Amino acid sequence: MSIWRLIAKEILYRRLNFALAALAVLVAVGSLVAVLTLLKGHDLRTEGIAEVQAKKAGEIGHNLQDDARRIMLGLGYNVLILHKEQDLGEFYTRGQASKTFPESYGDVLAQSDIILVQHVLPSLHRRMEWPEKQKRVILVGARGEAQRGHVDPKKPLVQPVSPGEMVVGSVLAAEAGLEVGQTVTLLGREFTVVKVHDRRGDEDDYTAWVHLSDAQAMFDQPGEVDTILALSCYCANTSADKMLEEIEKQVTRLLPDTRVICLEHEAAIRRATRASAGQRAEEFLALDQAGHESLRAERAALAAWVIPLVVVGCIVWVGLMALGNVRARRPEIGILRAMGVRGGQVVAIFLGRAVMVGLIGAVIGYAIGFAVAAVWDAREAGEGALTGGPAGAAALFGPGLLVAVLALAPVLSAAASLVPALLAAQEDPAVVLREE
Amino acid sequence: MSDTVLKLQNVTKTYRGRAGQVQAIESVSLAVEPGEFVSVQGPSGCGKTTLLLIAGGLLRPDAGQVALDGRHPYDLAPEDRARLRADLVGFVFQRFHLMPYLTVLDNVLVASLARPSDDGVRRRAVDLIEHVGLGPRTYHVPGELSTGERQRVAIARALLNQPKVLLADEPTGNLDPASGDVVLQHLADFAEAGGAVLLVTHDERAARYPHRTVRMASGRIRED
Repeated sequence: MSIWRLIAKEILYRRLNFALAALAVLVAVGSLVAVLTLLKGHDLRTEGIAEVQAKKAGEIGHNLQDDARRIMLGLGYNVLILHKEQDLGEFYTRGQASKTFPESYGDVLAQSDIILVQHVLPSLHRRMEWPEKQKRVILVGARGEAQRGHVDPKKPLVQPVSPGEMVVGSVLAAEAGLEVGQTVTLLGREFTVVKVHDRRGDEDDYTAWVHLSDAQAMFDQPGEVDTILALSCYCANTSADKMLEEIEKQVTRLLPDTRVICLEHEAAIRRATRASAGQRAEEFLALDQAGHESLRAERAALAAWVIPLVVVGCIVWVGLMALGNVRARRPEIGILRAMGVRGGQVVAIFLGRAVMVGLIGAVIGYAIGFAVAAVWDAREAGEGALTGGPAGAAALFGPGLLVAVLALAPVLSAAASLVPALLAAQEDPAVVLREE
Repeated sequence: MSDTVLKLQNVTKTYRGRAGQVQAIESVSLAVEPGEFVSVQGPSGCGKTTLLLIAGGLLRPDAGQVALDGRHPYDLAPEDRARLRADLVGFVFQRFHLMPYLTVLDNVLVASLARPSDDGVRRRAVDLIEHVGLGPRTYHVPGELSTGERQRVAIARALLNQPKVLLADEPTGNLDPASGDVVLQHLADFAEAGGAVLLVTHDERAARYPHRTVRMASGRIRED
């Protein structure tokens, strides 16, 4: 006869007491395993979601950039056409071109079948002294857009200034005392102020616009312009990457003594738009990740107090069940002690039983807790509370948790039963047998 | 060295409780030799059970000496006293104290927990069960046995560790006369085989088995 045989037989005999004690362990272990497994599932799914979202965000960002590129492509490139021999250093430092070319180039460009241009604006610029007002101003002579006779006319981007009329910037108007309807003299020619622009915060505020023919006459450059602004131009049958290069090539083929400058701020807008698209995707990803982390933190916080509460409650429960078992077995303890069974052996009998309670409760508790967590995880994934597929039982299973539970549950069960076991060992057989 | 296997000398025991003191036994002296069957008879409450518990090393007396096979159990540490009981003493009680979840064989073998290194214990248990006439009941549980059979299981259990002294407390108290006779005969057989038996009982029918009968009253031996 071994102690383990005695324990096994007693367990089978007092099944209810054993089952209730094992149920306590089952509840504690089941809760612990379920919560930890759910958290693991959450982590796994979050990782999966993060990967999927990162991929999606990448795709979205890429698509946004493509969309932006296509949209910008649809808008075409804004280019400035100068004389081929125009010194760019001089152009940028003086803010105006010194070389001119025929005004008719604008019409050639507008009529082209190869270069598609939405708006063509030939103009003549001068940074000059307005002697009558004793002011330095920027004078722009413009005639309005060159007509694109082969396609449907677009709504003009800018309203042309008629001959003999003048439009002025706000600061210039204020400083020179210009008002709408007023007649002013510029280089001996009279102009009627027809419009004062609102303040724009750039050099337009100090600019006066007149008709191109008036400017050509004032500067004695009839039929000449120094720049053509071509807005929204693009080449048919040309890839996006090659577009600007192709525009330059086609313009210079049409207008051999010109050169083309892509307006830098337009290129910057393209880059900024693409960068912004990527940034939006990253922000979306970060926001989503923060949501998952917040949910996990809430669950972990809940588990942090619920689990210890359940475990402590179950330890007390196991201890009380062990105490009940000791009380029910007092005569048995009495006769064992009378026969010479030592106190340590009596303790071993009750602790061995507690180990069995812990072991069996842990095995069943782990199985149930894990199953519940796996089902819950699958349901949660299915409901889309968290997108991403269920982690799956194989991924959720952790041998470390199983080993820890199978090792700790019997130890805690034995610890909970220690006091009752010691009380059993201290039972005075003489008292028990005399009472019986 | 004396052959006396159990010796009580001027043993006194008083129970102290909230209701006051109860003098259980007073200056009791008794000796039992190997092969001797001694019966202690007396009315309920005369101190018989207290005498038996003290003799078995289970209840420390307030005064007096107890010797089991020449050793003084109350001079030993509790664990050593338990070993002494396992080596020398077998108990039989009125209420059997069998474990309801064990078979007859396991109930007998449970005594081997006290002497785990004892070889051949299973063979001896089977022989004892046969000896008390319960061979066909070897794998029955106590709930399937008559009261007489249960007491015979208790006797087999008490004899498993081959004690020198058998202490029996009212072993026939719950039995019909025929079953009581069987139990007493087993005790007599043990004594016949060289063991010492101390039987405490108030059953007058038990008088024909012991070699010697001691009568107790009010905690004192009145007649030997």
